[in-house]
Amino acid sequence: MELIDDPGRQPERTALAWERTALAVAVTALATVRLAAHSAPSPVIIVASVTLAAAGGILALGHYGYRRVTHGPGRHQLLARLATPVAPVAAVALVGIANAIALLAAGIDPA
Amino acid sequence: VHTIARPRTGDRQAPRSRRPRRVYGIGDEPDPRFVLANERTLLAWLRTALAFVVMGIGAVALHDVARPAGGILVAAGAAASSLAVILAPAAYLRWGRVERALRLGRPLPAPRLAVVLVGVLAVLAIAALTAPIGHVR
Repeated sequence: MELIDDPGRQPERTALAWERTALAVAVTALATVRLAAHSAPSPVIIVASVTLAAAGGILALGHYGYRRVTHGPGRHQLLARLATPVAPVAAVALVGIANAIALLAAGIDPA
Repeated sequence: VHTIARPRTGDRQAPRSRRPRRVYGIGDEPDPRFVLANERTLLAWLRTALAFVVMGIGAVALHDVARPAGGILVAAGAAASSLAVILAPAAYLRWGRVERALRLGRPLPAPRLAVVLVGVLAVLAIAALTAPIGHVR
């Protein structure tokens, strides 16, 4: 391996970008809870839980992706391999679909 | 001084296990700083998509305030949330195109996605400004 200067601390910035994304997903979960004021609460709780789980997943994968860049794959091979751009893309698409359904349900048939 | 590991020359090909092969199967390993920057850009697009989801929920929450415009608000909210479902894969495709360009040492692709987003935001802003006229009590 050849070491190159990194005054921009790229791995840290990338890890923080993963954390910000996880935080944005968590905020989305809070907004989802707000829909309970307009519709039956149980589907809203399910969608909010799925969204919160997605936030936790992105947080964990960002951490292992960072470890992979700074320390190599290590013991958590599977998690490090999952920490690719596909994972947060799939999570955000899922969150988008789930919330679109929840808000349509809340808007069309308000409780 | 902070340093970052870079594969040696002659050792610049990605391991075969790395997916997607469409991206990692070609060219040489670029400067890891550029790879990380591309990853952060993808994540920024994902946060933009999430902002659209929250915008959609916000539109439905306004339902009671602007009751006669409720139908429009719900439709706009559903459209905004659905946009996130399109934006996320589009951002992923862009990430792949940029990564391929980096690996092949080619110029980066033009930011079509940003141009589309500017258009969509302009339409949404006009709709948001005009929709409540004559509706809000």
